Amino acid sequence: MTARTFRYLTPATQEALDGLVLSSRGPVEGRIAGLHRSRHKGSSVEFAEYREYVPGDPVRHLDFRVLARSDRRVIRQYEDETNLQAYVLVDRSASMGFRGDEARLSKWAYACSLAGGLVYLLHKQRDASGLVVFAETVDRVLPARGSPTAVREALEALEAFEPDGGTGIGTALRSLASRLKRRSMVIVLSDLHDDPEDVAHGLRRLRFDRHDVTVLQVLDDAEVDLPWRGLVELEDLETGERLPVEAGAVRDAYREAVQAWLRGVGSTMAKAGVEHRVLLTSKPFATEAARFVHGRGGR
Amino acid sequence: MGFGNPALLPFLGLAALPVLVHLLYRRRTRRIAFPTLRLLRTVDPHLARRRRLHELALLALRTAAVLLAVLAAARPSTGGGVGASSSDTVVLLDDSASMALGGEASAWTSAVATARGVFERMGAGDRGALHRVVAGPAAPAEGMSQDGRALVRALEAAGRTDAHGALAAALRVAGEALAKGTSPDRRLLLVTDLDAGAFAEEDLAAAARALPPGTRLVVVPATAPPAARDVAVRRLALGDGTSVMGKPLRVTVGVERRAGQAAGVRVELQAGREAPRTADVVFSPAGTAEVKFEVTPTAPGLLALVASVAVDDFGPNDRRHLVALVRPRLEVVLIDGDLDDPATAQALGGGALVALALDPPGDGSLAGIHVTRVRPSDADPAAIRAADVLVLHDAPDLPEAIEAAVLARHREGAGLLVVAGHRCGRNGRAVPDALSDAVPGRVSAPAAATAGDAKPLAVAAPEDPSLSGLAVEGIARLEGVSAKDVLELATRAHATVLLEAGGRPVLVRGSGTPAPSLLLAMSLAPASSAWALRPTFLAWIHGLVPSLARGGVERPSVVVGEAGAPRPVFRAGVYDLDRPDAPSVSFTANADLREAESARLAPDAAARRLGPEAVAVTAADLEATLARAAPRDLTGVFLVLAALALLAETVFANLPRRRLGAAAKASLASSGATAA
Repeated sequence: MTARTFRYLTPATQEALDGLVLSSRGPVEGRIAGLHRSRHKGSSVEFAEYREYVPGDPVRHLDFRVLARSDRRVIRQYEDETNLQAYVLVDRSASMGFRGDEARLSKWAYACSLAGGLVYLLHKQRDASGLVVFAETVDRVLPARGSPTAVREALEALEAFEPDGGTGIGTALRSLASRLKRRSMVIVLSDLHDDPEDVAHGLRRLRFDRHDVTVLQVLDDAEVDLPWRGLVELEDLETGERLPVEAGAVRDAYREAVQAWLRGVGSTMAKAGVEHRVLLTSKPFATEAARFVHGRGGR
Repeated sequence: MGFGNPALLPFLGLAALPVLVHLLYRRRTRRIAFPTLRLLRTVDPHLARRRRLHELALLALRTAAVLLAVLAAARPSTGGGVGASSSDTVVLLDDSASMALGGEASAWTSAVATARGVFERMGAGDRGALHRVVAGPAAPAEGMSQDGRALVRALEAAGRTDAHGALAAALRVAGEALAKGTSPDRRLLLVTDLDAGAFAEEDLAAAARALPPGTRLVVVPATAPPAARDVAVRRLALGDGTSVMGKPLRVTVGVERRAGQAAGVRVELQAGREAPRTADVVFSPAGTAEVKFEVTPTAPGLLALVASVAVDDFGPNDRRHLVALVRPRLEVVLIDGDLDDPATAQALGGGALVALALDPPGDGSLAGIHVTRVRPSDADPAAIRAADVLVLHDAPDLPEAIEAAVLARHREGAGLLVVAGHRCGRNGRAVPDALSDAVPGRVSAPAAATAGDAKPLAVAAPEDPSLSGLAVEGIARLEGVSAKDVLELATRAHATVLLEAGGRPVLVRGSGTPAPSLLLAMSLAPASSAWALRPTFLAWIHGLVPSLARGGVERPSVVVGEAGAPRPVFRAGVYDLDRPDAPSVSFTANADLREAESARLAPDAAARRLGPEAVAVTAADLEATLARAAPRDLTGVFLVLAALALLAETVFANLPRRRLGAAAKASLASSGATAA
């Protein structure tokens, strides 16, 4: 059997993420004892399925009975065996399709890679991970599951989408908030090119339910620095509007405007109790993911 | 504007380069997909519009810089035409008779000095020509000449004429000469005394328009030298009353001293052909003076008065003209056999003249007529010998002495107007027949022409245009008398006959014959009296009568206008008044001919007659005017403008960075506050 490779989760990424532990900043609700503190005691363990052993899996998880009986190396997986439920929300609006001249990945690819890595990381630490892909509306929701197929499904779901349409972050956040029954970790991957008030409203809604919310704002260096020279005609990816700009003439002012905007976003997040990080696509996402994990007190 | 190096002008097409670059640059503008323009909008909401304006301004500046640089390389100049480093100048000198007014300080002298200055200023490459209004081209005969000295010599040899020239024709000839020149800087200098008659031609403007393109038409008034004009004739007026032949006429000459303390000032008054009279002038403290003269006109008609003021050191100076109408003085002897009948005057056949003399209309038109009315028996032959008009009425037995007196007048060659009315004759014969018997050569009057029943006979009055038409008409209406008969009578009788034809008076006179010695008036109806008493007619009559004494009319009278007419009968112009060898006098007839001033146009008015392009300058300003016309190099100006355009382009290209930066900071201040 040949293991499938995914666009947004390469072996190199897996290797980079191995050994990392993403921890929650607060108590979460789980059904088994695990890495995270749980509000519930004595949760049961229910068998879910077998999964083919892949090199790297801990040997201790091998089902030796099956191995002895059929000479197949499989690993037993259990339903909801973690006590952490995490959702990764990925913004697939058209603006996420932007890729600067110097960038290796578009914001969308960067966000997807990051999302894939996080899902993988969560899976590795036996946490349940779900995925929400949204633009103006919620396009796809994968419920949080701890099964080995959750990672594959999430990666396949990400590969199925391309950036398109407007942005509705607030809508996605409110939709997710209505779904979540227990306290969860929510990681939003977006460029936040949306109505700040709407975004803040959605975040406050999640925080009201005491979810651990993190916003990873993915930006391209080009959209921060406006690096072009001379006259360029910028076309808004979401509205199609065009604007001729003497880049050099407005660069300084634009940079200041971006910084002011980011300061405003950061301030809004802080007031809402939301962790906010700006990730530039020029930085390797694995590194950024590791920095994010370490920043949360993980190992 | 001209160019010293016009071969470079095609490079003006380089101005298209910035436009092409601009278009290509626009076409190659990189289009970049961008996440959102929202933040850029906060930087400057009017960014796009400002950018477009900025681009257009830069394009304009770059294009202007290229244009100006190319134009500067082409060595632009102004004041001349293309390649105008030389000029073609035709001096059109007014040599008409009026230019002689003023003697040594005449307009002619001034005009010659002006023309000499023009020719002496001719530079290398310049061409010139001297033309005269009356006499035509003086030098060269055709085209233009570069020999300024030859032109000056031709000018010195030129003289004025006694004729009235056609200015329009002279302009056309001068235009043909200019067209043969090589320089596009063409000038036509018309040096003239601005006589109104010269500018009265209807096709003057058309002739000016027909000049070669680019010709500068400059009118230069020729006046007496300013240095000699420190005194002037301010006023020339006649005294009140009607000017009548033989009666003194008071003439007042007002003089003013305009500058300096001119001494030895004299006023000279020339009245007709009389010897000029002079008087010294004593100025008042205000610098004015009035000198009064008395003139006694010796002939009816128009009397030209010329008052001039002279200064010892300068000779004749300013002058002023006036034309006065001198009414005739007629001595009329009315021999009336029915003296006691008050209706006699009205009943006089052909005696309307006398009738109105007895009952003048009160307008002064008969002021010069003196009537002596006597019975036939009381008639004095001596009075008849002194009379101008003899009217016979109801005198069937005219005394022989009277007839003898009339015949004596005839034999002496003196003129006498005889008006033979009803029942006039002697020994039963009508007066004409009786007279014809007595006149040598015999008067062959038609048989029907009897006393009291006169018929029209002949007509000829070539010297009076107002009558010639009537004469033709009268001949056409003759009944039973051919024109040949009429002419024969007038010729053989040497008589001028005043008759009636068709209810209108007709003058009958032999043309081309010796002057008539006898004037017969027959059958003038009262209805014709108004016409007969028109001043022009009276002037003609009285001008004729004295001439009889001299044996003929040597020169016709000059009829200029008529009293009471709403406008002058004849157009203003130069009319030869009384001396063929005298300077012609310009005047304008007014309603009563009492103050006909010299008709000279203002310089600007004269220029307007020539068209809107013509200008008038004084001789003193002529040099400055021509100097302004000289080409002026503008290369430096264009270079500076090109440099300024480039500098402005550089500054403007960097302007948006600063201006937009400032706008962005202002915008950030508000957006930052919102975010916080």
